[in-house]
Amino acid sequence: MKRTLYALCLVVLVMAAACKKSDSTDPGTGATPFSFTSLVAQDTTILLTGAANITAHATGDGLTFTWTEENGYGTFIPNGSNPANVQWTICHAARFKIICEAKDKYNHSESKYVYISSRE
Amino acid sequence: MCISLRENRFRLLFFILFYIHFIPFVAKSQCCSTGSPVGAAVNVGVLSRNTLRVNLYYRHSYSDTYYQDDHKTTELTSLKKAYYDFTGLILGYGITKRLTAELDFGYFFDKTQVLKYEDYKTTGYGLSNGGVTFKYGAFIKPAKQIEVTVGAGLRYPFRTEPQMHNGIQLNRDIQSSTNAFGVYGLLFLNKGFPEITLRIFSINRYDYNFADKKDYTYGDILMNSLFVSKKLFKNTFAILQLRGEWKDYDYENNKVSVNTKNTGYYLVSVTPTLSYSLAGRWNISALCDIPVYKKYNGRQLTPKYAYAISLSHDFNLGRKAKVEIAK
Repeated sequence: MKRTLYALCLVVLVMAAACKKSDSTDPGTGATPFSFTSLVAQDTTILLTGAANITAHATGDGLTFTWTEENGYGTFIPNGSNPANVQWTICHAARFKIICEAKDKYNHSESKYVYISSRE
Repeated sequence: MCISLRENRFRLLFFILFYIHFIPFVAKSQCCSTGSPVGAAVNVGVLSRNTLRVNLYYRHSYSDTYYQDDHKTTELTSLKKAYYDFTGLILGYGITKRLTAELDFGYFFDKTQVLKYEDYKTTGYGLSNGGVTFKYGAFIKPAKQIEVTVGAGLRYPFRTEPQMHNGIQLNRDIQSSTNAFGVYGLLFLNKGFPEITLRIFSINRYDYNFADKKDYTYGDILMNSLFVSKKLFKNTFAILQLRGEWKDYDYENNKVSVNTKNTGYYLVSVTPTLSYSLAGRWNISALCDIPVYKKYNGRQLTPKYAYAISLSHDFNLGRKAKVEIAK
């Protein structure tokens, strides 16, 4: 009985291993190479009543973008149709580091940053 | 029995008032935040032994006016308005007749800022900080309706990383949590005048915040409040509260920086409250906060008004246990 159980467990393990999802980090031959070429701000100095327009230029399959300010300041306004473009606004005058991380569906990622200054 | 019920009713009332006002679940104050701490409950007194108190409350706050120092300003302001809706749950338990433990949790349904120059509003939501409080009745004279209670507690974050939505980081002012730990101490003083159904009590609390992962520290907060409670009709009480709040500057890397100079304030508010008690165990309260004096560092969005409702119930677990044993 014990042997049967061991054998059954072994079969289940082998089947589970065989059913393992293919590794999504493997780009394969038809994949678009991942490249994050630049992060560009239209204006690097803005007024407190204004907003900076920032665009990430990247290529790759299934790209996603994550936008942060180094210390959590300011408000990002997403561009609904283009996740590679945001506007950013702030309520006090200082210099800020805006960071964008681009990632493709194979988990290739890269971050770039741009400094924006705000003045009264 | 009558005295016991009346005492219970007052204690319930204090409890609700304390939490509705004094739990500074998000004492954030950036140039664009709503600034004021917003809590909701009020009892600070200790509970009877084996009493479990459950208090559920809801609070709405609205802000649309910037202040620079002690006067209004419209210059270089970036927000049209800000508001939040918050609900909190507090569980209190009388461990002994002098020692009470409390747990509190809160959730922001929405914490929203509406921009002035862009057609956009940004909203955060989620759990606020949790709290654990221990209170000790240092001096209690029930016959004279005198109580002095001291307490201390710990606030803890449910997350330590800033909240993200659809790939963008929400700004500090609409984060639901401070993402950092804090500690606080409190002092509750009470004197009742049963012959004229009046009570005067005072709640005083100091909050100390620790730095978050980015070495940002929300400023310490001191709140002092004086309450006058008067019985209007059977089971119905009117309470008037005068509250003073001081919040220190926030600190970035242990200093006031260009990013934190628009933080910190003095705020004085008046809070009328109406409370209805049922059988000494249920209590429903409604209140509104009306700021009457504001003095803000730099330029900040300030609270215009807030209102809250609260429902509370006491369970006597000791009595139930005895009945079960008797069975």
